[in-house]
Amino acid sequence: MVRERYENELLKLKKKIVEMGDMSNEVIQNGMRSFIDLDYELAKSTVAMDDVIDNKEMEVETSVLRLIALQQPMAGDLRLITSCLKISLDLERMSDLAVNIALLSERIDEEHIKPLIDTEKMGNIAYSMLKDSIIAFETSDIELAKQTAKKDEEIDKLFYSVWMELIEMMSSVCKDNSLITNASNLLFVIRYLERIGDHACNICESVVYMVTGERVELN
Amino acid sequence: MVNGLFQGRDIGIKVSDLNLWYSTNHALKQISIDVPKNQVTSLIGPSGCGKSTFIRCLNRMNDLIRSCRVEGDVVVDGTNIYDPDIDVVELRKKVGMVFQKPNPFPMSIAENITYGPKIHGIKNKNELNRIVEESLKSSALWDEVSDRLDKSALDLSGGQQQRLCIARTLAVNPEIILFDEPCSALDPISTAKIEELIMNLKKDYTIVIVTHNMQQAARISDYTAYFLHGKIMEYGDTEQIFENPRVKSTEDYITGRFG
Repeated sequence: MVRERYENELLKLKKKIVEMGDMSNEVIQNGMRSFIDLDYELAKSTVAMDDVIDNKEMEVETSVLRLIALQQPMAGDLRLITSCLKISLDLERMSDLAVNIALLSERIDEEHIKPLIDTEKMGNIAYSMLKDSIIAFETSDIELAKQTAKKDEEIDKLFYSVWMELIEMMSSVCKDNSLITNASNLLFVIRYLERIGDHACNICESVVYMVTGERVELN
Repeated sequence: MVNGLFQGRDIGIKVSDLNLWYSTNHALKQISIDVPKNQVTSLIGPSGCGKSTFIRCLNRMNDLIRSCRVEGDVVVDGTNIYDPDIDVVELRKKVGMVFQKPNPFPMSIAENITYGPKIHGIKNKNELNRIVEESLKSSALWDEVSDRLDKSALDLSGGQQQRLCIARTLAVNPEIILFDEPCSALDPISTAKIEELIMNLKKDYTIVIVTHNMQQAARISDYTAYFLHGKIMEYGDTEQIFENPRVKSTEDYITGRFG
């Protein structure tokens, strides 16, 4: 083969994404399990996985930069490499969110307000979506990718129904329906703002790296 | 040919059913391709694929090879350049060529430029001076050599010599310029200057370039044709060829898997 080293580097990069996908999957599963069962030990070990995944993301980024700088990839190779970079960012964000779920287990007072049937279902769908998306990536199966993305509708539906159910539950004790609606909307707004802040921190970290070549944790 | 590839564009060169043999070796097979006017079209492919043979057909440089036989049409300005009554000297004025290795004549810088116009009958000194200045300005060399036009062209650097060769081609006012690997003997800075120049020249000329440098083809050309075993395997918009080639062997070649 003409470019054996290059081929090997591409294969290694692909493998890193698959490994990172497996890790993220584990974090999502464990994060959900720890929250549902209020298992603080599991929550702790889930949170600890965050650094491992961050390191994996950096490994992917380094490989991508090296491949672009040294091999001048083209066509399908270039698409693979840039996709790996984007997928690694998504996996890192997904893991962060799963870690947040694990951290919330410690904030639940004594027990959950209701059996978490739909919430667990949402977790299972998210888990299977990630699993299938990584299989689709590994096998370049666009049909599987398309089918997998469709499952997002189920999550969206469940999200809406759980949200409504929660508002009803809160209304039954509070009676002031509009207050609960507004408060829960506000809850989302502050959540989104908090996420925006996180992303802004990531940009700041990228700027430090861009200018100095040093990787720093600013968040 | 991709449908609608040149929507609304004029065609500078129309090649139909072109076949070429070196003795019994069938080196170009049924080539049909439209080269759009005022655009850069690059020809890529592994060594021996026929791209240099093809570009040399466009101003009949292959006529100089005794064993070479050409069939098919190459139409420029409504005329088939392989018609027996074509004046080849006039053709090469219209379709200029710049080669891989800079080949200035062993004369002064100015004489290199005026050589062609003089052959074509221009005697007026002021007119010749104007051509020297204009050609050197168009080839982005004027600022570097304007104070030493009577010095030998052989004293220029490789990159400057190549730009002088481009100026020499421009001096006879061609419509089409063929570049056969014009940067392969040049350093990166000189290469960048030639690339910049080619992109500027396309507003006035139709350009065809053979290159082994994939990034160069991707950077400077509007359309790309991929040659293999004497055939055009794929021809299309440069962006499409380099980002999403439709033919597997194109992908294999541009990603460096063979060739």
